[in-house]
Amino acid sequence: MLSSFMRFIERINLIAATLLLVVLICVVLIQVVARPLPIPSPPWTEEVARFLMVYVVAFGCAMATRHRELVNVDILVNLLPARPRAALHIVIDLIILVCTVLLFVNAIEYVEHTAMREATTVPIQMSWITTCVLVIMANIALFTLWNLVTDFVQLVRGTTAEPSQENAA
Amino acid sequence: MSPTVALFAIFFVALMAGVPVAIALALSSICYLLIADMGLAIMANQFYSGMDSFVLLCIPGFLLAGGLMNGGGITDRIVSFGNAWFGHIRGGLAMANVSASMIFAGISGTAVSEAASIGSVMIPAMKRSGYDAPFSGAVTAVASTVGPIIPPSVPMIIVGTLTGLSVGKLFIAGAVPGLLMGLTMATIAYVIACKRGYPKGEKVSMRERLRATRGAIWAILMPVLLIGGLVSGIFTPTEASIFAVVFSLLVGFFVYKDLTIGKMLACMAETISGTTGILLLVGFANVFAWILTSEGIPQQIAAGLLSITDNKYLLILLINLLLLLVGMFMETIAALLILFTPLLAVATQIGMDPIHFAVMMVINLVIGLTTPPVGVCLFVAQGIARVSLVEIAKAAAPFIIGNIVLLFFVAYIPGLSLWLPALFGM
Repeated sequence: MLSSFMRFIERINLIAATLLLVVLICVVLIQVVARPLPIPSPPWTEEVARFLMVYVVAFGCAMATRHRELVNVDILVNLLPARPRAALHIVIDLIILVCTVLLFVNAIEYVEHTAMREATTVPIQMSWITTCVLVIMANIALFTLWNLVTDFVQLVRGTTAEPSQENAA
Repeated sequence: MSPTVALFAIFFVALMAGVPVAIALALSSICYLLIADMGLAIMANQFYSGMDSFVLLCIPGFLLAGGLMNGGGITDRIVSFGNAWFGHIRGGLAMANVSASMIFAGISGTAVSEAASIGSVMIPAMKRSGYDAPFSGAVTAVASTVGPIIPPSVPMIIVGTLTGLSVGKLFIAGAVPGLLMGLTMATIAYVIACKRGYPKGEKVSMRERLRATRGAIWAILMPVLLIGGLVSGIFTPTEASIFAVVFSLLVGFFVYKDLTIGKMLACMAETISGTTGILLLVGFANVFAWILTSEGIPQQIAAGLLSITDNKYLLILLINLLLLLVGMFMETIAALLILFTPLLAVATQIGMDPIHFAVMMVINLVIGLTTPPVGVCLFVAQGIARVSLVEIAKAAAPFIIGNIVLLFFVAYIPGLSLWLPALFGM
């Protein structure tokens, strides 16, 4: 039940991020196409593209957290047998959870402050954009909580936890 | 415990324990701000400012373009192109592997995607032809490191974001060192192949070669169009990345016709995940960097290094040795985000051009992608070749030494990085 609910939330996040990525590409494309045309380039494209990107990240956090795709140094983790590895994963999950919850709480004030500002080229309150920080922290915390449950089950069963992954340039 | 000591101690302990680098940066910054009694209000602001950059839009663009080109069937065609031109030489498949990586580098800005894409085709083919599995994996791993040097390059985009240096100029500055890296690796592969008597393939006719070239022409054209567009000022790096996406879609759907909606969506999901990982790192590194700057750490590091010696050449050597050590343990982008600004302070004090320094540092850190214990490209190739880490690391050693020699050429001969941008008047 919990598992299918979380998968549904993950899917919603993926769909939102994909749609925003498509819009982002279209917006920058407008900028590229408009340049050689004998009409003034729309001034809003750069700012809107930035806003779209931070929201792509906000929704993308769900997948990146769930599949442990955040870059890490996993020498120690991968050296450990199943149970200690699951235990270390639980400690790491708890650290992520504490950090993101702390940052979520402190980001509320920041978002409220930005409500007084408006974006430069589009009539939108900056708080709508900076809310992405709250979405990021909430998504990471939520999916870390799910990872925590999975890791706890693995610790109890003594099965092998998913090795953490690295992605890099 | 002083806040600064806590900052570094917590960061390194968390990093080595396997905490994601972005979270290790967040955790250490939180601890610093709490110990220094500064409150956490600044964090959200710095985190958001770090991510909110137009230049960073290049990252999803180039990641997606690389994925779409790969999904559109470009990898097989690039490999066929390499085989057609170099397959008949002794160790020709190894050279085809290097040339394929160099072409792929012009599409993708990352090394890991190259190692996975080229490796999945080349490593089994090399093993079938009689090459040792560790050698096949090692060539793939080291050749993939040209990805972040030949433009486009994700690490160069990060440098541009950190410093405000022109990303277009950084891209162009990487071109000559990237080509030299490829040539160095092809030469080493040839020497090893001759020594071990690796096979050479049948010489193919000119018609076959031209057919293979026609198949790969769209991949070869991509970097030419990107560099041409950047140099001529037709588009900015961000616009170039979106142009690359559209180009890849057109080639994948209408020219090669191998791209499907399903593959495209899978590429987009991978792009979202990859972009998220990098941007979270950038956001939290911005908080960390703000603390470093407010504590004057870059100046302290510069003063510390300059107190050892003020000899320019020795300092370049020291910086490179430090970075080689860091690269062995830390992922390229994370290391760049943390160390670039402090070390740039040293570099500028000894009269190094920032663009030259950036190219040197990126080359240095990508060498770390092929060195144990944390060599991500080595891990990817090791998995495909099905060999142990020790075997593949031993096989990669001659190539790594070659790259280190090249690194010092780039470090001590600024013209290798600065000549091309100057030629184009950048």
